[in-house]
Amino acid sequence: MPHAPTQPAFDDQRFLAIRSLLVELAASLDRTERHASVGTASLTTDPRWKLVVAAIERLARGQGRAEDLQMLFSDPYEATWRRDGGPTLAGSPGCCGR
Amino acid sequence: MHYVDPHIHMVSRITDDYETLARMGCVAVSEPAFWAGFDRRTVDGFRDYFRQITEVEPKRAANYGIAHYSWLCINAKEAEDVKLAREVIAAIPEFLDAANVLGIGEIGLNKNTRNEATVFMEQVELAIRHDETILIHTPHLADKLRGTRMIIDMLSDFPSLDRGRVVIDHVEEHTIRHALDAGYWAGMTLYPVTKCSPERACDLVELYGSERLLVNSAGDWGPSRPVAVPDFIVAMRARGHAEHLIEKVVLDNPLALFSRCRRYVPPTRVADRAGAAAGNARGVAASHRA
Ligand SMILES: [Zn+2]
Repeated sequence: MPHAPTQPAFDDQRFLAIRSLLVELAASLDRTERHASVGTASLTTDPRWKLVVAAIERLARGQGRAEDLQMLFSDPYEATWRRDGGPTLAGSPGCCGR
Repeated sequence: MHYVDPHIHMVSRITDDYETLARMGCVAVSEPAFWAGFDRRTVDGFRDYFRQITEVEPKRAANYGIAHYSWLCINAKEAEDVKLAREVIAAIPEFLDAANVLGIGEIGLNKNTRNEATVFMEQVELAIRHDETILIHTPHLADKLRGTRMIIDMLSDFPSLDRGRVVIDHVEEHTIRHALDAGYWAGMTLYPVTKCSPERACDLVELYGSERLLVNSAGDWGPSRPVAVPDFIVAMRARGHAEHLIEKVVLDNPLALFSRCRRYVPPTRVADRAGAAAGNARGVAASHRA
C-alpha cells in the first residue's frame, strides 16, 4: 500500500459507520421487497434486482470488493468495438449534466 | 489548507459558493466546458458560453481571491449533432488565447456512441494542432468502464501525445488503473450517488499513491457539493495521513497539471508553490511520454 493510514484500523467509529451502512442496506432490501409484494412488479425477473442480489453475494468474498462490484455493475468492454461500429447504449445519468 | 478544485462548473453555482470556497481555502478553480442542462441550438450559443467562462467567471472568482481557469470544447452529450459540433470546433480557436484557458475539455464520451467517438477524435486532433492540454470526461455508471477503455483505445492513435498533459476524469475503483498505467492523470470526482465519495477517494490514494491523482467536486447544477474537496481533506486527516501528502493531492498536483499549459500563470496566492510544481510536472510528464 503506497500510503498506509496511521489511525487505528478498526475502532468504534468505523464499526458504527459500517453497522449503519449494513442496517441501511438491510432496510432498503426489506423495503423494496415489501413494496414489490403489494404491486405487480416482479423482483425475481428484474435484471437490476438480480444485480443487487449478486452484489450482496460478492461482499463475502474478501479484499477487492469495491472494484468487484464496480465490474459487476459495468457493461462489458469489447476490444473490437472500432471494427464493429461501436456499441449502442441506453446511457446513464450522472454529473456534468449527463 | 490551500487547495484547488480542478473540475467545477461555476456558471451553475451562486456567488455565495465562491465565498464559501474562499473561506475553505480554495485558491483556484478550473472549469471545463460542459452541457448546460439544455442543448444549445447554434454555434453562437457556444460562443456566448465560452465568453462566460473566459471573461465573466474569472471576474466573479477574483472578487473572492480565487483564480479561475477554464477549458474549451463541445461536450460529449451535444456531440451527437456532428454538424453543430464541427461548427463549434471551428470556433474554439477564437478563444484559445484567452488568459485563463488551460486547454481542451471536457471532451469524452457520454453514451459511447459512434458520433461521440468521431467528435472526440476531432477534438484530440484540435488539441494536438494547437499544442493544448486535454481534460477528458468519462461516462457514468454502467457505461464508465467501456467508455474509459474506448477513450484510451482512441488516444493510442496518437503515439506522440504527451500523456502527462492529459487528464482522464471521473475515475473510480474499476477504471483508475487503466488511466494511471497508461501514463495519464486521473481525476476522482466526489459526487453524491453516482460517483466517488471522499472516503473512497482516500482509499484510492492509499492503494494507488498520490502521483498524477486529482480530486474534484464537479460541482454543477445537479445535486453536488462544491466543498467536496475540503471533505476529502478532512477524511484524509481523520485517517492520520500527513499534511504534505494531502497538500500534494489537492494543491501541488493540480498546479503541476495546469503548468503544462503554455499560457498558465500561477494563482498569485500560491505562486511560490506553483513554480516547484511546474518543475515536478515536467519530470512526471517526461517519464510518461509514450
Ligand atoms: Zn464536468
